[in-house]
Amino acid sequence: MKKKVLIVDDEKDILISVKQLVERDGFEAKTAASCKEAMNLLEKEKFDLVLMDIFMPEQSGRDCVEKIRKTPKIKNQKIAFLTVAHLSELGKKIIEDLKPVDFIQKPINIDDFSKRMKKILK
Amino acid sequence: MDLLAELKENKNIILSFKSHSNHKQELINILKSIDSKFNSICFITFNQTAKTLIDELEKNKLNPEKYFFIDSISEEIKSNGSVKNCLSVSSPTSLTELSIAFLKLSHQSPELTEFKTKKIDLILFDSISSLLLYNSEIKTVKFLHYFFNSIKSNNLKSIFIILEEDIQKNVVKEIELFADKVIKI
Repeated sequence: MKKKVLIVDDEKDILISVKQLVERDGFEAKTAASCKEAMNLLEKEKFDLVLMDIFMPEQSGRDCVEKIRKTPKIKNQKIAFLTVAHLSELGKKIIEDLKPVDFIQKPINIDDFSKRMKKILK
Repeated sequence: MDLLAELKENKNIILSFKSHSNHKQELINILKSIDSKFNSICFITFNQTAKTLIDELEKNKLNPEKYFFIDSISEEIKSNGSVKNCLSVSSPTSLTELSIAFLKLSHQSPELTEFKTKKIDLILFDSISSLLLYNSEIKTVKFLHYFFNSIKSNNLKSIFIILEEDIQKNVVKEIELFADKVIKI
C-alpha cells in the first residue's frame, strides 16, 4: 500500500505542482487549501506525512500544527514544513517545539525534495 | 530594559507599547535612548507625517538631520508641506513602493544625492499596528517577512513598534518567527 501525503497550502499552483512531485516519487497525495480543510481530512483519513505551508490566511501553518498537536487522535502526526519563510533563531526554536520531521525551503529543489521525501517515508 | 544592549544582541526587535495613549511619549523615549548610538536612522512612518515627526524631534532637542523618513501617511491624508530627507509613499497599502523606497535608501541610490544620504544603520518602523489597519494580516505577514530578511541581508538593525493590544493577534505569532526578539515596555 502506497504511503499517503497531505499537502497543505493556500496557493493552488503549489498544491498542483507539489502533488505531482509527490506522486512522481510513488506516493499517494491529497491536498488541502487551508487548515480547516486539512483538519477535516486528518480526522477522517490516515496520512503518513503532512507537508505544511506557513504563510496562510485565516490560520497559519504554525497555528495549524499547534492545533494538530493538541488533537489527541492526530497529535503524533508526522509533519514537515514546506515554506518560503526564512526563520530567525527565535523562530527556529518556536518551530522546533512543534516537532516537525523536516523543514523544506521553497523554491523546491526537485532532487533534494525527492531524497527528503524518501527518507521521511521509508 | 536596556534597548541598546538588546540591539547589540539582536538585529530585528519588535517593541510593544502598552497603549495608543502613551505611544507618542514612548516613541520619543526610544529615540532619546538610541539617538547617540546611531548615525543615520531610517524612520518609516504609518502614524505621523514626516513633518510632524521633525517638529517633535526638534521640540525634544534631537537632530532631525540624522533621520531619513519614509512617509506612508502624508499623501494618504493630503498633508501639505514638503520635507527634505524624506521619500513619500502614495498610500499605506503601497508596500511595493515602500520596499523600493527602502532599497533606494539602504543602497544609497545616486538619485538620492540631494538628501546627502549617509549609510543608514537603524530602521525604526512605526508601526505594525498601523500597517495592519490598512493591510490584511496575510499581506502584512508576507511583507514583514520580506522586510525583516532584507534588513538582515543589508546588515542593518531594526525596531518595529506594535501596540500591546495587537500583540495577541495571530499575526504577531507569525511575525515573531522572523524577528530576533519581542519586548514589552
